[in-house]
Order: sequence, then structure tokens, then C-alpha cells
Amino acid sequence: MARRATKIDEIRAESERIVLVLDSGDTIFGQALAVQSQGQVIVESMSAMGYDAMTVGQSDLRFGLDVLLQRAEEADFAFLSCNLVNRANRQCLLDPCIVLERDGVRLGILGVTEPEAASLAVVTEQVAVIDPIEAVREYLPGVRERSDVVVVLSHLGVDEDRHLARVCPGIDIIVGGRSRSLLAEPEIEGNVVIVQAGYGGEWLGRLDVTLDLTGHIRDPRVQIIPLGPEIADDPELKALVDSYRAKFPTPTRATR
Amino acid sequence: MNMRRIALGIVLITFGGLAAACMPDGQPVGNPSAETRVLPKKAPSPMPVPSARAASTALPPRTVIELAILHTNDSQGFVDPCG
Repeated sequence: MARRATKIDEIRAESERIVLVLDSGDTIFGQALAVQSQGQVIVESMSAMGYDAMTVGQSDLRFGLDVLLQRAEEADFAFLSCNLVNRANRQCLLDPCIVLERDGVRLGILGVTEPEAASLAVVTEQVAVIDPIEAVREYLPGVRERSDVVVVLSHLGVDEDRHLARVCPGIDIIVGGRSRSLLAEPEIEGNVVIVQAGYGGEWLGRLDVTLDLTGHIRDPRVQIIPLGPEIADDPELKALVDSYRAKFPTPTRATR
Repeated sequence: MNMRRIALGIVLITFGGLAAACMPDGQPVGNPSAETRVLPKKAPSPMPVPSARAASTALPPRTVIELAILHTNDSQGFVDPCG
């Protein structure tokens, strides 16, 4: 986390581009400290790093719905899913999408969760996941209309992302997760660029794109940045994580 | 009577033309409040698109969007990289 923060700050400082920081889910549950703090250490760290949005994967629901909604409330960034719904009334449990404005550019971001997420015993009575394609088709036109660039944050896996790109015209970029693919080159499906950056916090993915006046993406370039020990810890982020370590001094075994 | 109306019309048209010619370029003609009233009642968008006129006069025209997306996934609660 502390290395990631250093790298994100460095890129923000040096880049003249509009910078978005996104996460594609299965993020807040897993390692001991995350479990002990019920995801709080992760969400607080991501807020400190200036994340703009994340989508929700199955493991993000492992603390139960109430905890997920609490973490979403605390976060300084958006938790997005257009297909995670209340089982009783079929209403979205999180914001389905957001449109951010940066330097006069409107950036539409839509989140989508894998259908298996609702099968977790801890949420299955409260939560349903509607078909991802159906949900994206419902929300995409509205986001497209209000945005210059449309990014889908997907926790469906790279094969499903390719399918999504084929059947839902209007997406520019899919930032994916779940299949844990380390894509050193962007996947191109029609006019859609698909990226994914591994797992376990080992890498930070970077996608640089230029969109021309017709909205077409030119020259997509991917970097997979290893977050190795050669990158210095960001002192503030390290202090934040250390404060959680002090609060939970006896780590339990990691639950994965 | 008809000749008098025609003469009055010519005078008014001539005077109106002279008055319009004296207006500075770009000055809106008509009552601004009347213009406001004919605007659609739709709530203003939180992210308005700059008009072509505004872009050409106030800001340099944007020809491309240069975007960098930094992204992570499936980090599974790791506060340190697991590798």
C-alpha cells in the first residue's frame, strides 16, 4: 500500500494527463489486517491515495452487506455496482455509476459485479446480482450521453469483459478484475481497450490513452508497474497502516 | 391617408436601420430577461459541456483527451504486496 501510494503520487506529479485511480474489486477482504479491521484499513488507505472509484467483487461482500455499505459510506471514493441489488425490491445497493469532471472532460464510470457474488451465505438472503450484460445495457446509454469517456470497472473476468465489449457498444475502456490476468499489453475488442493488473497488490497497472475528437481511442499503452522493495514507502500511508497494526497487534491467520 | 402611412413607414425603417447599425458587434438584441425566460426548464447539468463559442473565445479548443488510468484489482486485503 505504502509503495503504491508513492508510485501514484509520483505519476500524478509528473503526468500532464488527466489521472484516474480505479480498483476492480475483491479488495477489502483477505489479509489479516483487512479482516481484523473489517476492510477499514484498506478503504482508509485507498481514500488517502486518492482513489476515484472501485467496483465490488464477491469477496468484498464477505463481511456482510451492512459492513460493505458502512465502508462505502466512509470512503472518499465511489463504490460502484450496477447489478448488485436488494433481493426484495431489485434496487441497486450501491451507486451504479458516476460521472466525474476533470479539466472540463466528463469521465463516466460504471461498476459491474460477477453473478456468483450473491451466492455467499452471508448475503444471499439480502442480495441478488442481476445479469451483468442486462444491467450494463440499462445504465450505459445514460452514462454515455453525459460523458466524453466511458470506463467500465468490471469484476467479471477477462473473457467476460471481451464479451461485454462486443455486445454493449458505447464502452471505451474496461478495467477488469477477477481472472487475475496480468495484461502486459491492452486487449483490444472492437473499439474497446481492456486492461487488468494481476492480483495481491503486487502491481499497479497504468493505461495511457488519447481520445480524438471523434471519441476514438488512439495509441493505448499499458505499463505493469511492479511494487517491489526498490520503491520507497510513502510515510503517511505507512503510518496509517502501522496505526492499524498497533490497534490489532495479534494478527490472525490470513483468510483467503 | 395611404401616402401618409407609407411615408411614416419609410421614416421608421430608416431610423431603425440607423439605430441597429450603431449597435456594437456581438451585443445581444432584445431584453436579456426575455431571453432567460425562453431557456428550457431542465435543471442545469452539473457537468456542462462548453459551447463551441465559449471554447473558441475563452479556452483553447480541446483536440484530444489525454488520460492516464492507474488501476488495481483482486488485491485481497493485502496491505503489502504479497510477492
